[in-house]
Amino acid sequence: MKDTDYAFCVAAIRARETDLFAAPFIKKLVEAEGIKQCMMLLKSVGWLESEEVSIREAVRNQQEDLWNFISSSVPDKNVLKYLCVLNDFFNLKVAVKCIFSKEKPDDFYVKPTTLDLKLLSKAAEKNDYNLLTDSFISNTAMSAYELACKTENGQNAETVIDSAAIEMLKKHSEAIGKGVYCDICAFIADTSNIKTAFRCCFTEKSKDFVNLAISSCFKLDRSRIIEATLNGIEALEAYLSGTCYAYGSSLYLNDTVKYDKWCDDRIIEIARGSKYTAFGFDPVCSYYYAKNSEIKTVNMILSAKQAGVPQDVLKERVRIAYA
Amino acid sequence: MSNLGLFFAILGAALAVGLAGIGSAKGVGLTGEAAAGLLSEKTDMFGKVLTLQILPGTQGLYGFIVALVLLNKIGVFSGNVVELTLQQGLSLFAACLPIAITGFFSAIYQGRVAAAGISLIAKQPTMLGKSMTLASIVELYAILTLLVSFLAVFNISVG
Repeated sequence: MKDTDYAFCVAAIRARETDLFAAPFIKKLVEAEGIKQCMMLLKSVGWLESEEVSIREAVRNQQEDLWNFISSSVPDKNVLKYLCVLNDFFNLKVAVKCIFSKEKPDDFYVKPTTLDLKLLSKAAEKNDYNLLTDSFISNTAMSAYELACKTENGQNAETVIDSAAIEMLKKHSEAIGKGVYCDICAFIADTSNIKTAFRCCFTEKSKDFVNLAISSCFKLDRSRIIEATLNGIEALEAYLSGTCYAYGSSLYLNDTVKYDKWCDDRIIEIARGSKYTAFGFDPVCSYYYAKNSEIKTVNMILSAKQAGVPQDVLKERVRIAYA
Repeated sequence: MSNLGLFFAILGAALAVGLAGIGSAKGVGLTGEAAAGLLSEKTDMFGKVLTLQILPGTQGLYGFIVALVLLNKIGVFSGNVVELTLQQGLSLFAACLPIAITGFFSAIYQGRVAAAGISLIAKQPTMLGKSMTLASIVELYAILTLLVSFLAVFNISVG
């Protein structure tokens, strides 16, 4: 598709961007006396329809509204799959795991997703993943299930699906070629590989497992990160200190929560790259991540207020605003 | 030979109105899409977006003016079509090219600028004037070619 085909969508996004929360408003929310005051503030800006609504419902409404807006505005519905990769593979993981835990997967599925969730549950129940239309997803599910049965270890199945999700990100990134989406895919893939590498180090995983768990990298050298992981935490730290992820990986060693915040903030910084782009998919992708980050932040603030988390702790964890 | 001269003159008029018109249609269409996107979120912006949408449409009008002048000159409207030599026909054809070519491209590029301007006023409604100025700068080149085509068609002697 030509970038000008997104003219309608981008103009609508620019109009919506004016409603995204800026840093001063988020500060106001953090400094609010309690959840009630937060709810009042959110209602005053039209984020909530009523103060009586639960946090979960408010978040779900916002997510649904975002997805309805994006899916109805983009000129090519095919691009929607680019935005749902992680959710799609998370749902696949849920379906496979629920077979072993005998739980109902419907309670754990996340939206938006491009997968037909009923079909996914049916495929998992019947152990016939060929029912799924995407061959890459069905092959991943089959491999994960078979590995879990063979090794009697659910973690292996999870690892196969997580790796496949990264492979899918890489595929999509290559299909798009360049831009904000590709940069975000690269960052997500690399940072999740770093996380996996550290976890493998801490739990002294075998070579086979590390090879399975660390998937394709973008700005990292896969063979070197695997080698460093197998050589221990110091080797891994030394390797990562020479990459563009040096700062983030140093955070992970001290505090994983700070690492997660750094990852989320970096994604928003990357998304800001298309703030002044007039056409194309980039502004769609940026707005999607920006709005999701806002929803996540509000969810975090409301949950913290409800649980009585101190303001200082909350201030440290709140993500940066896109606007 | 005289028929061939007339053929080229009419081809010039057709290109002037056709190419500039296609460019304008593309430009106005693109701006219209962006305008619809903004209106889907902010319905009160119609007046502002309409002003921007009109801008890429002018090239089509310029091509139309040049074509009318040419057709009038060779007597199409009066019914007494003058006999043109091949040289005269080619001269009139060449006179139409500036507005045909520049009209086509400038309308498309002006459409892009105007559509980007709509994104700008979506975020900052007070920026309408500046958005229009940016889009109008592209118009300058269409106006220059209109003048050249118009003067050339007007001054080429026929008959």
